[in-house]
Amino acid sequence: MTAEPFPPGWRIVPASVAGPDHLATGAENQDALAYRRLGDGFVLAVADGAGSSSRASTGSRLAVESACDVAADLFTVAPAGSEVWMATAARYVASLLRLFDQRIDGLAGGFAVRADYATTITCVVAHPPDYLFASLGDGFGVIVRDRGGAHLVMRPDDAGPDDGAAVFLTSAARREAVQVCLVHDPAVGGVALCTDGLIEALLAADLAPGGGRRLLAPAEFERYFTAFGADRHDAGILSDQLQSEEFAATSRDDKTMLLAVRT
Amino acid sequence: MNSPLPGVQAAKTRLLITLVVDTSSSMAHQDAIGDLNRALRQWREELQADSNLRRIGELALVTFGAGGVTVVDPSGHGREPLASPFVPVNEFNPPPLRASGYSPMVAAVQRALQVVEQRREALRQSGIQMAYRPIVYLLTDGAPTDEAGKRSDRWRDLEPLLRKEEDDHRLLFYAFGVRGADMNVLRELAPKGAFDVQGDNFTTVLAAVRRSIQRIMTVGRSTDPGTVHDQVRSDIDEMQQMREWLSIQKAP
Repeated sequence: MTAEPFPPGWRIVPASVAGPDHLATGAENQDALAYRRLGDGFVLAVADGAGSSSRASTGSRLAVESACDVAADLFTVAPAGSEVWMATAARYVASLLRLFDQRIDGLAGGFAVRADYATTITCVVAHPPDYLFASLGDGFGVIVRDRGGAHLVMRPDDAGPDDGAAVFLTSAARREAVQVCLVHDPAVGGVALCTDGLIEALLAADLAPGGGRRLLAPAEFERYFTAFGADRHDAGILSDQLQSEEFAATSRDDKTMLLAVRT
Repeated sequence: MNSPLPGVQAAKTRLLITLVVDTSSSMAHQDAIGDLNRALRQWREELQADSNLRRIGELALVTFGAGGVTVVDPSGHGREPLASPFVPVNEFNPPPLRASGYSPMVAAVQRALQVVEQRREALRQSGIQMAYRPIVYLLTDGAPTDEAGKRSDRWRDLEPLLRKEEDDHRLLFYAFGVRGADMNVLRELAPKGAFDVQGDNFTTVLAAVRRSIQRIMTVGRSTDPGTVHDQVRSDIDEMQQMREWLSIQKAP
């Protein structure tokens, strides 16, 4: 985690806890998070190492570090206009994948097996009022608007629990599976990134018009932003909550939430 | 102090668990039915202590014995008609079961598959998906008969249906044979999910069922059923070994 100060007017609130299964066995948290200031903007990243992969925690750490390092190269200054944003976004994704590969390949004396480091990645590069989300896997991103409520803008790669094979940063089909979304909104008052261990606890669902479920950010989600923004609560209460029995009952998975809140 | 942060959202997924229980006359022998009733009460408490299962689990109970196949109200309220055969885990409170009659096992498993399918469809229409494959557990001490008590080979028609449901990742099926069960039939119905527990009491059998539920809640729906069955068998074997070791330690 990078401890650089954030741009004035923003507060960072990180929390990442091991899930009940990992706690019971003494295994480490396979989620990771990182964040960094980019001049007047910032980058946030969360990742969820695949439980079935032997070096997943290393994979998730390298993923979030790569997301921040590439953002620091490409987004120190805000791109001018949506077309430049999207062109830079394409370079960002390509560079992130390349750097992640290079870092994996540099491990184990050059004999690392990439699949052992399988991980998701969800990140946001922010130069307010622009917010570029990129995600591979089932992490998700929420924004809150002043007097406009919380909105799920980066959806988990969610076929629901009836899922097929997940796509990770180490998967062959990763490039096509990356989701990218650019939000231009002067009214954004905060951004949250979460790993999939929090889907069940934090997101609501309704019936999609074509059948199946549609995930959404419930109205209560806004309270995460008010608690750490206007109300200035201690950041520690977020970790306490993610470790609570109530949250443990929603998922055996590790849980990570990274908030950037206007103060 | 009240937290300024919101609580968790309502459950968006479900795990459907169906018990198909033999209540034929043979279950009266040596009060096996009494043992089962006591074990079910203890099992209920153990399930309800599991906060994750309490949140997403639903249970149904199908019996076969006197009167043929019965979908029992698992809440113990004796609701008729039974609007939904499934109740949430925290409402599971089965009535005492009585033993008599024959063993229409195949019809009971077919009925269980129907109630699972009905519940799956109702949940789907509500936008609620299954976090895990529904699980059907058959507990029997005998061999399948028809409703008139004649030995039946209809299980041969059931077997391919169960395999297809499993291969399509729509179901997991387990069969536990107690006290004289025809294990040959059970192994045909559940080639990798049949357990010979003839020497065990029902508390031990239901502990194994519970252990399998815990295992299934750790694997995704994309995991092939053979792998899931192998993991479940490994867990149950480990339980058995631990129990044997403890009994040796207790021996004078």
